[in-house]
Amino acid sequence: MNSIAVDRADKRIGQVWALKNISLEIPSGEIFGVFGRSGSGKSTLLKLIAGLNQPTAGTVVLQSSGSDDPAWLDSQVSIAFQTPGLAPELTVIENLRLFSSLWNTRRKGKMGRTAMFLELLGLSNVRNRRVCKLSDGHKCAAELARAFISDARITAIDGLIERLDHPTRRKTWEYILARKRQGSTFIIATSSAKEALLCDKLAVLSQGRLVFAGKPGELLSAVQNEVVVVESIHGPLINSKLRDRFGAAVTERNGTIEIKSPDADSDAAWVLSELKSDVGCVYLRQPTLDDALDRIEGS
Amino acid sequence: MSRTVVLAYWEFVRLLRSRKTVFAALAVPVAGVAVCVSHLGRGNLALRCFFPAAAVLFTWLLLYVRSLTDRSSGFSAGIDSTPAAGAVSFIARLLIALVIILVQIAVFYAAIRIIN
Repeated sequence: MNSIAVDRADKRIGQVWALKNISLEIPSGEIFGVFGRSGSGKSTLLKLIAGLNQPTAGTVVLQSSGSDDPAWLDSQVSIAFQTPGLAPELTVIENLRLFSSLWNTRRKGKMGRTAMFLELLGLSNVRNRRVCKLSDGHKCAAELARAFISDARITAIDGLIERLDHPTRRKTWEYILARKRQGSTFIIATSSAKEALLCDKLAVLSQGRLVFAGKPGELLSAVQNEVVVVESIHGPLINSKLRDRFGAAVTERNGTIEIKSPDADSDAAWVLSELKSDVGCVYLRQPTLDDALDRIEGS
Repeated sequence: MSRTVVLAYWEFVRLLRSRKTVFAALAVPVAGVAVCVSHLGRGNLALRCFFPAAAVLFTWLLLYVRSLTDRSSGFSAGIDSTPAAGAVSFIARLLIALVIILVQIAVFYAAIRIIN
Protein backbone atom coordinates (compact mmCIF):
# COMPACT_ATOMS: atom_id res chain seq x y z
CA MET A 1 0.00 0.00 0.00
CA ASN A 2 1.28 3.47 -0.88
CA SER A 3 0.46 6.97 0.16
CA ILE A 4 1.97 10.24 -0.88
CA ALA A 5 2.98 12.99 1.52
CA VAL A 6 3.74 16.45 0.18
CA ASP A 7 5.31 18.59 2.88
CA ARG A 8 5.73 22.36 2.47
CA ALA A 9 6.69 21.94 -1.18
CA ASP A 10 7.67 24.99 -3.24
CA LYS A 11 8.46 24.95 -6.93
CA ARG A 12 10.02 27.85 -8.72
CA ILE A 13 10.08 27.85 -12.53
CA GLY A 14 12.23 30.71 -13.81
CA GLN A 15 11.14 33.79 -11.91
CA VAL A 16 7.69 32.43 -11.09
CA TRP A 17 6.67 30.46 -8.02
CA ALA A 18 4.51 27.76 -9.63
CA LEU A 19 3.79 26.21 -6.21
CA LYS A 20 4.10 27.77 -2.79
CA ASN A 21 4.05 25.95 0.52
CA ILE A 22 1.93 22.97 -0.51
CA SER A 23 1.29 20.36 2.16
CA LEU A 24 -1.09 17.49 1.64
CA GLU A 25 -1.48 13.76 2.13
CA ILE A 26 -2.88 11.45 -0.53
CA PRO A 27 -3.97 8.15 1.01
CA SER A 28 -3.81 4.96 -1.01
CA GLY A 29 -6.93 3.62 -2.71
CA GLU A 30 -8.51 7.02 -3.26
CA ILE A 31 -9.40 9.18 -6.21
CA PHE A 32 -7.73 12.44 -5.34
CA GLY A 33 -8.58 15.52 -7.39
CA VAL A 34 -6.39 18.56 -7.94
CA PHE A 35 -8.79 21.29 -8.95
CA GLY A 36 -8.06 24.81 -10.13
CA ARG A 37 -7.96 27.22 -13.02
CA SER A 38 -5.39 27.13 -15.83
CA GLY A 39 -1.98 28.14 -14.51
CA SER A 40 -2.85 27.35 -10.90
CA GLY A 41 -0.02 24.79 -10.59
CA LYS A 42 -1.91 21.51 -11.08
CA SER A 43 0.45 20.05 -13.69
CA THR A 44 3.51 21.12 -11.71
CA LEU A 45 2.16 19.39 -8.61
CA LEU A 46 1.47 16.19 -10.56
CA LYS A 47 5.00 16.19 -11.97
CA LEU A 48 6.40 16.59 -8.45
CA ILE A 49 4.30 13.67 -7.25
CA ALA A 50 5.36 11.52 -10.21
CA GLY A 51 9.00 12.32 -9.42
CA LEU A 52 9.61 14.01 -12.78
CA ASN A 53 10.53 17.31 -11.10
CA GLN A 54 12.10 18.01 -7.76
CA PRO A 55 10.64 20.66 -5.45
CA THR A 56 12.68 23.84 -4.94
CA ALA A 57 11.99 23.45 -1.22
CA GLY A 58 10.07 20.94 0.88
CA THR A 59 9.60 17.24 0.17
CA VAL A 60 7.39 14.86 -1.76
CA VAL A 61 7.56 11.35 -0.33
CA LEU A 62 5.99 8.18 -1.63
CA GLN A 63 5.45 6.15 1.51
CA SER A 64 5.25 2.46 0.87
CA SER A 65 4.96 -0.68 2.85
CA GLY A 66 6.05 -2.67 -0.22
CA SER A 67 9.69 -1.75 -0.62
CA ASP A 68 12.11 1.15 -0.18
CA ASP A 69 14.02 0.29 -3.35
CA PRO A 70 14.04 3.48 -5.51
CA ALA A 71 13.61 1.45 -8.73
CA TRP A 72 10.55 -0.26 -7.26
CA LEU A 73 9.14 3.06 -6.09
CA ASP A 74 9.70 4.55 -9.58
CA SER A 75 7.50 1.84 -11.02
CA GLN A 76 4.62 2.74 -8.72
CA VAL A 77 3.54 6.02 -10.34
CA SER A 78 2.48 6.45 -13.94
CA ILE A 79 1.36 9.77 -15.34
CA ALA A 80 -0.77 10.80 -18.33
CA PHE A 81 0.25 14.22 -19.57
CA GLN A 82 -1.79 17.02 -21.15
CA THR A 83 0.58 16.85 -24.12
CA PRO A 84 0.65 13.14 -24.96
CA GLY A 85 3.94 11.38 -24.20
CA LEU A 86 3.60 9.14 -27.24
CA ALA A 87 5.88 8.67 -30.22
CA PRO A 88 4.15 10.55 -33.07
CA GLU A 89 5.66 8.30 -35.78
CA LEU A 90 4.39 5.08 -34.21
CA THR A 91 0.83 3.78 -34.39
CA VAL A 92 -1.39 3.61 -31.33
CA ILE A 93 -0.86 -0.12 -30.85
CA GLU A 94 2.91 0.18 -31.38
CA ASN A 95 3.07 2.89 -28.73
CA LEU A 96 1.16 0.70 -26.30
CA ARG A 97 3.49 -2.23 -27.02
CA LEU A 98 6.53 0.00 -26.49
CA PHE A 99 5.34 1.44 -23.18
CA SER A 100 4.01 -1.89 -21.98
CA SER A 101 7.51 -3.33 -22.50
CA LEU A 102 9.16 -0.35 -20.81
CA TRP A 103 6.95 -0.86 -17.78
CA ASN A 104 7.83 -4.56 -17.93
CA THR A 105 4.22 -5.56 -17.55
CA ARG A 106 3.88 -9.30 -17.52
CA ARG A 107 4.21 -10.89 -20.95
CA LYS A 108 1.31 -13.22 -20.28
CA GLY A 109 -1.91 -11.52 -21.28
CA LYS A 110 -0.11 -8.42 -22.59
CA MET A 111 -1.91 -8.55 -25.94
CA GLY A 112 -5.25 -9.05 -24.21
CA ARG A 113 -4.65 -6.04 -21.97
CA THR A 114 -3.66 -3.89 -24.93
CA ALA A 115 -6.84 -4.90 -26.76
CA MET A 116 -8.87 -4.21 -23.62
CA PHE A 117 -7.56 -0.63 -23.32
CA LEU A 118 -8.06 0.00 -27.03
CA GLU A 119 -11.68 -1.09 -26.64
CA LEU A 120 -12.21 0.77 -23.36
CA LEU A 121 -10.94 4.06 -24.73
CA GLY A 122 -12.60 3.83 -28.13
CA LEU A 123 -9.33 3.34 -30.01
CA SER A 124 -10.02 0.01 -31.73
CA ASN A 125 -10.76 1.66 -35.06
CA VAL A 126 -7.60 3.77 -35.03
CA ARG A 127 -5.22 1.20 -33.51
CA ASN A 128 -3.07 1.13 -36.67
CA ARG A 129 -3.09 4.88 -37.22
CA ARG A 130 0.02 6.88 -36.42
CA VAL A 131 -0.36 9.12 -33.39
CA CYS A 132 0.52 12.25 -35.40
CA LYS A 133 -2.56 11.60 -37.56
CA LEU A 134 -5.00 11.20 -34.67
CA SER A 135 -7.67 13.71 -33.62
CA ASP A 136 -7.19 15.53 -30.32
CA GLY A 137 -9.76 13.34 -28.54
CA HIS A 138 -8.09 10.13 -29.76
CA LYS A 139 -4.68 11.45 -28.72
CA CYS A 140 -6.04 12.03 -25.20
CA ALA A 141 -7.51 8.52 -25.14
CA ALA A 142 -4.22 7.01 -26.37
CA GLU A 143 -2.30 8.92 -23.69
CA LEU A 144 -4.66 7.55 -21.03
CA ALA A 145 -4.14 4.04 -22.44
CA ARG A 146 -0.37 4.61 -22.15
CA ALA A 147 -0.74 5.48 -18.48
CA PHE A 148 -3.21 2.69 -17.70
CA ILE A 149 -1.16 -0.04 -19.36
CA SER A 150 1.65 0.47 -16.86
CA ASP A 151 -0.33 -1.34 -14.15
CA ALA A 152 1.21 1.11 -11.64
CA ARG A 153 -0.46 1.40 -8.24
CA ILE A 154 -0.68 5.18 -8.54
CA THR A 155 -1.89 6.85 -11.73
CA ALA A 156 -1.78 10.62 -12.20
CA ILE A 157 -3.95 12.08 -14.96
CA ASP A 158 -3.38 15.66 -16.04
CA GLY A 159 -6.57 17.21 -17.38
CA LEU A 160 -7.34 14.59 -20.00
CA ILE A 161 -10.64 13.04 -18.98
CA GLU A 162 -12.67 16.20 -19.65
CA ARG A 163 -11.32 16.23 -23.23
CA LEU A 164 -12.74 12.78 -24.03
CA ASP A 165 -16.11 12.28 -25.68
CA HIS A 166 -19.00 11.41 -23.40
CA PRO A 167 -19.13 7.58 -23.81
CA THR A 168 -15.36 7.24 -23.45
CA ARG A 169 -15.38 9.54 -20.42
CA ARG A 170 -18.05 7.38 -18.77
CA LYS A 171 -16.15 4.16 -19.48
CA THR A 172 -12.92 5.71 -18.22
CA TRP A 173 -14.57 6.63 -14.92
CA GLU A 174 -16.01 3.11 -14.63
CA TYR A 175 -12.50 1.71 -15.12
CA ILE A 176 -11.03 4.14 -12.57
CA LEU A 177 -13.66 3.18 -10.00
CA ALA A 178 -13.04 -0.54 -10.63
CA ARG A 179 -9.27 -0.07 -10.19
CA LYS A 180 -9.91 1.96 -7.05
CA ARG A 181 -11.85 -0.95 -5.57
CA GLN A 182 -8.72 -3.06 -6.14
CA GLY A 183 -6.67 -0.56 -4.13
CA SER A 184 -5.20 1.64 -6.85
CA THR A 185 -4.80 5.36 -6.28
CA PHE A 186 -5.69 7.99 -8.86
CA ILE A 187 -4.65 11.62 -8.83
CA ILE A 188 -6.69 13.64 -11.29
CA ALA A 189 -5.82 17.23 -12.14
CA THR A 190 -8.78 19.01 -13.63
CA SER A 191 -10.30 22.40 -14.23
CA SER A 192 -13.72 20.83 -14.74
CA ALA A 193 -16.12 21.07 -11.80
CA LYS A 194 -17.97 17.96 -13.04
CA GLU A 195 -14.84 15.79 -12.96
CA ALA A 196 -13.72 17.24 -9.63
CA LEU A 197 -17.07 16.36 -8.06
CA LEU A 198 -16.43 12.65 -8.79
CA CYS A 199 -13.23 12.60 -6.72
CA ASP A 200 -13.12 11.32 -3.14
CA LYS A 201 -11.02 14.25 -1.97
CA LEU A 202 -9.92 17.50 -3.51
CA ALA A 203 -7.02 19.86 -3.26
CA VAL A 204 -7.92 23.24 -4.71
CA LEU A 205 -5.05 25.32 -6.05
CA SER A 206 -5.15 29.01 -6.81
CA GLN A 207 -2.07 30.80 -8.15
CA GLY A 208 0.19 28.04 -6.85
CA ARG A 209 -1.25 28.00 -3.35
CA LEU A 210 -3.38 25.35 -1.71
CA VAL A 211 -6.64 27.08 -0.81
CA PHE A 212 -8.73 24.05 0.15
CA ALA A 213 -8.21 20.38 0.96
CA GLY A 214 -11.12 18.10 1.75
CA LYS A 215 -14.15 16.40 0.30
CA PRO A 216 -15.97 18.02 -2.65
CA GLY A 217 -19.16 18.17 -0.55
CA GLU A 218 -17.36 20.26 2.08
CA LEU A 219 -16.23 22.68 -0.59
CA LEU A 220 -19.77 22.92 -1.99
CA SER A 221 -21.24 23.53 1.44
CA ALA A 222 -19.16 26.71 1.64
CA VAL A 223 -21.43 28.13 -1.05
CA GLN A 224 -24.94 28.55 0.25
CA ASN A 225 -26.41 30.77 -2.42
CA GLU A 226 -28.38 29.46 -5.34
CA VAL A 227 -27.68 30.96 -8.73
CA VAL A 228 -30.14 32.76 -10.99
CA VAL A 229 -29.14 32.24 -14.61
CA VAL A 230 -30.33 34.79 -17.17
CA GLU A 231 -30.03 34.21 -20.91
CA SER A 232 -30.65 37.10 -23.27
CA ILE A 233 -29.65 38.37 -26.68
CA HIS A 234 -29.37 41.85 -25.12
CA GLY A 235 -26.43 40.78 -22.93
CA PRO A 236 -24.70 44.14 -22.25
CA LEU A 237 -27.99 45.98 -21.62
CA ILE A 238 -29.30 43.33 -19.24
CA ASN A 239 -25.90 43.09 -17.56
CA SER A 240 -25.85 46.79 -16.71
CA LYS A 241 -29.44 46.75 -15.43
CA LEU A 242 -28.73 43.71 -13.26
CA ARG A 243 -25.52 45.26 -11.92
CA ASP A 244 -27.47 48.37 -10.92
CA ARG A 245 -29.81 46.15 -8.90
CA PHE A 246 -27.57 43.35 -7.59
CA GLY A 247 -24.04 44.84 -7.74
CA ALA A 248 -21.07 42.46 -7.47
CA ALA A 249 -23.32 39.38 -7.25
CA VAL A 250 -23.69 39.56 -11.04
CA THR A 251 -21.15 37.69 -13.20
CA GLU A 252 -21.00 36.70 -16.84
CA ARG A 253 -20.07 33.12 -17.74
CA ASN A 254 -20.24 31.29 -21.06
CA GLY A 255 -22.42 33.98 -22.59
CA THR A 256 -24.99 33.90 -19.79
CA ILE A 257 -25.44 36.24 -16.87
CA GLU A 258 -25.51 34.76 -13.38
CA ILE A 259 -26.66 36.24 -10.07
CA LYS A 260 -25.49 34.55 -6.89
CA SER A 261 -28.30 35.24 -4.52
CA PRO A 262 -29.38 34.29 -0.98
CA ASP A 263 -33.00 34.70 -2.12
CA ALA A 264 -32.90 33.32 -5.63
CA ASP A 265 -36.68 32.78 -6.00
CA SER A 266 -37.61 36.40 -5.44
CA ASP A 267 -34.66 37.70 -7.48
CA ALA A 268 -35.68 35.47 -10.41
CA ALA A 269 -39.24 36.78 -10.06
CA TRP A 270 -37.91 40.39 -10.09
CA VAL A 271 -35.94 39.70 -13.28
CA LEU A 272 -39.00 38.20 -14.96
CA SER A 273 -41.30 41.05 -13.96
CA GLU A 274 -38.94 43.99 -14.60
CA LEU A 275 -36.91 42.77 -17.60
CA LYS A 276 -39.43 40.45 -19.21
CA SER A 277 -39.15 41.92 -22.71
CA ASP A 278 -35.33 41.72 -22.79
CA VAL A 279 -34.87 38.28 -21.26
CA GLY A 280 -34.91 35.01 -23.21
CA CYS A 281 -34.78 32.54 -20.36
CA VAL A 282 -34.44 32.60 -16.58
CA TYR A 283 -33.77 29.57 -14.38
CA LEU A 284 -32.28 28.62 -11.04
CA ARG A 285 -29.40 26.22 -10.50
CA GLN A 286 -27.58 24.78 -7.54
CA PRO A 287 -24.07 26.12 -6.86
CA THR A 288 -21.19 24.12 -8.37
CA LEU A 289 -17.53 23.71 -7.52
CA ASP A 290 -16.83 26.51 -10.03
CA ASP A 291 -18.92 28.83 -7.85
CA ALA A 292 -17.03 27.63 -4.80
CA LEU A 293 -13.73 28.34 -6.56
CA ASP A 294 -15.00 31.81 -7.56
CA ARG A 295 -15.86 32.46 -3.94
CA ILE A 296 -12.51 31.24 -2.62
CA GLU A 297 -10.56 33.25 -5.18
CA GLY A 298 -12.78 36.27 -4.64
CA SER A 299 -12.15 36.26 -0.93
CA MET B 1 18.89 -4.77 -20.80
CA SER B 2 15.68 -5.88 -22.48
CA ARG B 3 14.17 -2.42 -21.97
CA THR B 4 17.18 -0.84 -23.67
CA VAL B 5 16.86 -3.18 -26.65
CA VAL B 6 13.10 -2.59 -26.89
CA LEU B 7 13.53 1.19 -26.78
CA ALA B 8 16.37 1.08 -29.32
CA TYR B 9 14.28 -1.12 -31.62
CA TRP B 10 11.30 1.25 -31.61
CA GLU B 11 13.59 4.28 -31.95
CA PHE B 12 15.00 2.62 -35.05
CA VAL B 13 11.49 2.02 -36.41
CA ARG B 14 10.71 5.70 -35.82
CA LEU B 15 13.88 6.67 -37.63
CA LEU B 16 13.03 4.54 -40.65
CA ARG B 17 9.58 6.13 -40.87
CA SER B 18 11.08 9.57 -41.28
CA ARG B 19 11.97 9.73 -44.98
CA LYS B 20 13.92 12.97 -44.64
CA THR B 21 16.15 11.41 -42.00
CA VAL B 22 16.78 8.29 -44.10
CA PHE B 23 17.67 10.36 -47.19
CA ALA B 24 19.93 12.62 -45.13
CA ALA B 25 21.65 9.60 -43.57
CA LEU B 26 22.27 8.12 -47.02
CA ALA B 27 23.50 11.45 -48.36
CA VAL B 28 26.48 11.39 -45.98
CA PRO B 29 28.21 8.31 -47.48
CA VAL B 30 27.23 9.46 -50.98
CA ALA B 31 28.93 12.79 -50.29
CA GLY B 32 31.89 10.88 -48.87
CA VAL B 33 32.18 8.84 -52.08
CA ALA B 34 31.88 12.02 -54.17
CA VAL B 35 34.76 13.56 -52.24
CA CYS B 36 36.82 10.39 -52.66
CA VAL B 37 36.47 10.26 -56.42
CA SER B 38 36.85 13.99 -56.93
CA HIS B 39 39.98 16.05 -57.04
CA LEU B 40 39.52 17.03 -53.37
CA GLY B 41 39.64 13.47 -52.21
CA ARG B 42 42.88 12.34 -53.78
CA GLY B 43 44.89 10.09 -51.57
CA ASN B 44 43.51 8.61 -48.42
CA LEU B 45 42.71 11.91 -46.72
CA ALA B 46 38.98 11.74 -47.49
CA LEU B 47 38.78 8.15 -46.42
CA ARG B 48 40.67 8.80 -43.20
CA CYS B 49 39.22 12.18 -42.23
CA PHE B 50 36.25 13.48 -44.18
CA PHE B 51 33.86 10.58 -44.15
CA PRO B 52 34.26 9.48 -40.52
CA ALA B 53 33.96 13.10 -39.36
CA ALA B 54 30.87 13.66 -41.51
CA ALA B 55 29.24 10.44 -40.29
CA VAL B 56 29.85 11.21 -36.63
CA LEU B 57 28.80 14.86 -37.02
CA PHE B 58 25.63 13.90 -38.90
CA THR B 59 24.68 11.26 -36.31
CA TRP B 60 25.32 13.63 -33.43
CA LEU B 61 23.25 16.37 -35.11
CA LEU B 62 20.46 13.93 -35.94
CA LEU B 63 20.19 12.68 -32.37
CA TYR B 64 20.42 16.21 -30.98
CA VAL B 65 17.60 17.49 -33.22
CA ARG B 66 15.63 14.35 -32.43
CA SER B 67 15.96 14.93 -28.70
CA LEU B 68 14.66 18.49 -29.18
CA THR B 69 11.65 17.36 -31.25
CA ASP B 70 10.95 14.54 -28.79
CA ARG B 71 10.94 17.09 -26.00
CA SER B 72 8.51 19.37 -27.80
CA SER B 73 6.24 16.50 -28.90
CA GLY B 74 6.08 15.16 -25.34
CA PHE B 75 7.63 11.76 -26.13
CA SER B 76 10.66 12.47 -23.91
CA ALA B 77 8.36 13.13 -20.97
CA GLY B 78 6.54 9.88 -21.72
CA ILE B 79 9.81 7.93 -21.59
CA ASP B 80 10.99 9.82 -18.49
CA SER B 81 7.82 8.79 -16.69
CA THR B 82 8.63 5.08 -17.11
CA PRO B 83 11.20 2.99 -15.26
CA ALA B 84 13.24 3.18 -18.51
CA ALA B 85 14.21 6.80 -17.87
CA GLY B 86 17.85 7.89 -17.56
CA ALA B 87 20.51 5.27 -18.35
CA VAL B 88 18.20 3.01 -20.39
CA SER B 89 17.16 5.88 -22.64
CA PHE B 90 20.78 7.08 -23.02
CA ILE B 91 22.13 3.63 -23.91
CA ALA B 92 19.28 3.10 -26.40
CA ARG B 93 20.28 6.33 -28.15
CA LEU B 94 23.93 5.24 -28.21
CA LEU B 95 22.86 1.97 -29.82
CA ILE B 96 20.92 3.89 -32.45
CA ALA B 97 23.92 6.13 -33.11
CA LEU B 98 26.10 3.05 -33.54
CA VAL B 99 23.64 1.49 -35.99
CA ILE B 100 23.41 4.70 -38.07
CA ILE B 101 27.21 5.01 -38.27
CA LEU B 102 27.59 1.32 -39.19
CA VAL B 103 24.98 1.62 -41.95
CA GLN B 104 26.73 4.72 -43.31
CA ILE B 105 30.09 2.93 -43.31
CA ALA B 106 28.55 -0.06 -45.08
CA VAL B 107 26.98 2.15 -47.77
CA PHE B 108 30.23 4.10 -48.17
CA TYR B 109 32.42 1.05 -48.72
CA ALA B 110 29.83 -0.64 -50.92
CA ALA B 111 29.72 2.46 -53.15
CA ILE B 112 33.54 2.69 -53.26
CA ARG B 113 33.75 -0.98 -54.27
CA ILE B 114 31.15 -0.51 -57.01
CA ILE B 115 33.01 2.52 -58.42
CA ASN B 116 36.36 0.74 -58.35
